[in-house]
Amino acid sequence: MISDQRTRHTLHRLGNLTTAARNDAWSRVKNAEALKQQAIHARDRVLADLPAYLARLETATRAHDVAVLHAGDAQEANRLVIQTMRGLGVTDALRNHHPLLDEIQLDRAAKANAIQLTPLHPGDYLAQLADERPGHPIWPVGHLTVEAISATLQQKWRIPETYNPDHLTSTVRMPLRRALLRTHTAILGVTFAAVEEGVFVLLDNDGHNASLTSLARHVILLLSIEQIAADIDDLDALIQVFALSAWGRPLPAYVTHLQRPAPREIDGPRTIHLILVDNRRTKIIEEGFGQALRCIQCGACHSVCPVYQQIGGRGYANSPYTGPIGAVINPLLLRPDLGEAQAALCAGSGGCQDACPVAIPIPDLIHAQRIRLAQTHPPNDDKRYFSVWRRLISRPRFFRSYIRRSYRK
Amino acid sequence: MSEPIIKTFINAWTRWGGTWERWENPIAARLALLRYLQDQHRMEILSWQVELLPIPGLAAALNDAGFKLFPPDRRRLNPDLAMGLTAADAALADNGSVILVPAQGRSWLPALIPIGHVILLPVNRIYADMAAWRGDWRRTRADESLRTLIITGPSFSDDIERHKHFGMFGPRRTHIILFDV
Ligand code: SF4
Repeated sequence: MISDQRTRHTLHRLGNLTTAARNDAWSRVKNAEALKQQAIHARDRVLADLPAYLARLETATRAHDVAVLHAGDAQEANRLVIQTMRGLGVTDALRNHHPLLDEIQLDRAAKANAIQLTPLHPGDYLAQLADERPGHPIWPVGHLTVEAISATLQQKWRIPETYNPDHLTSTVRMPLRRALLRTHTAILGVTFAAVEEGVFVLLDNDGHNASLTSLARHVILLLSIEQIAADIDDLDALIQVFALSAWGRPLPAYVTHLQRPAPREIDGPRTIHLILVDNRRTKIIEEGFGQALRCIQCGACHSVCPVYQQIGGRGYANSPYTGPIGAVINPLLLRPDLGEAQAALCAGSGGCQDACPVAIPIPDLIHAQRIRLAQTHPPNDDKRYFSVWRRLISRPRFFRSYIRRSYRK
Repeated sequence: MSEPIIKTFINAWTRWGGTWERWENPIAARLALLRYLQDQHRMEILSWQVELLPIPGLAAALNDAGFKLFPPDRRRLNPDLAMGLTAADAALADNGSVILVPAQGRSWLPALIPIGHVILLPVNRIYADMAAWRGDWRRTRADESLRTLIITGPSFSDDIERHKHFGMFGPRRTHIILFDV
């Protein structure tokens, strides 16, 4: 629980602004329900036959002269990035904002291998300066107050204290822009890929992805294997759904498509490496939790979660996956022993499921986790408590209304 | 191009923070461009190759007015560049977006690096929506690279308490000059 009132207020405000923008944007979409259904279908279609779609993606990208590599786990993904950079003869790179890069802890691996990796996204850059982990998929430092950011910049860069967000952003912007113009190599987490066309898409509002793909000579793409769409039409639907739910607008300021290395006379990377990262995702599908992988990391569920509003990104096992979906995905993706603590982060309000544009039944998945936990690790010391708990959680509707009632008290 | 689609585009474009003007033909648009650039007091402009811009006689007009266009040479890029000039391959009315497909002499960089970006757009390049544009692309340019940039409004960061700071990496101002052909 965050004790500082001002930080709690900042988190609430972030949630309220985001929810209002999202609701407004969706209310303007003519066929909102059809669009959501298309997005759900797009996700389920590839998840139902992931190996086949991945094989097709590989064929399509190789035909575009993209080198394709496979990483079974985080360690292997990092090793492939470092190896590729060494092969290119580079020791520094800029990276974009993407939870996959945090999931595999690329920054740490780069540092350990004497590679200078700078996050170009201002939120990630500020998080790094403040020694914080990103707390939200879209706004990594959404939980930090302007005062906290000012104090960090004062301490690290000796800039005068200011509570003006414009001044603070400008202060960060200058070194980042200079770094961007010197860039040689970019490491980019891909938002989505379209299998049929072998196209990768990167989304942002500040333009860092478009600039990086124009200026960097070498691009290393990292893609979570489930973040793919069958074709460009499904991709367009996912982009729109993501933008509406994440930013409350039909498209972000920049949608950057990348397909193949650029010829000499055109700006763009001369080489593209693609690393397909599994890191337990295949296992998650096998274990029957594939619905969790529908997640497009839009952050809509964060804004409505009463627990997230209280604790922010802390409490999610230092994972980049925070909020309600984090509570589901972290034990599956990172460590099963996180299950108990993560499941306890659900108050059963059910708001996350209503907010989720791809209709992930988050409360049911958390409930299923609890059942799994109860079966695999029954507490020995208090069997009576356990049996009451088991009866309670085996009736999700009752459990949810019980929790809702407790919240109202 | 139907008037309602053009109006829809203008409404959406302004909604995301872009400014615009519309002229009856390319010659009027050329004068409008000169006026706009003069108002910005910027003489050096990062630009597409001028012959690839959809307005005739632009090179001479800019030259006579004292403007210097230069191509996006990496060595000359600096963070204080003030103005970028491009056309657009297409525009999407429903979202108020412009689409840039890179080619020789048609770099993305004038749209990404300077503080301001001016776009010259004949109204016949406005499509109702993404599906309409994709349909046309499939018919006419199916074997080209799908490397595209879709821009919807100026660049911004709202990382600090969601306060919008415009011009983070891309332009702070995006101005479009529409003209009939
Ligand atoms: S679970 Fe749904 S709402 Fe939450 S981040 Fe994922 S897609 Fe968005």
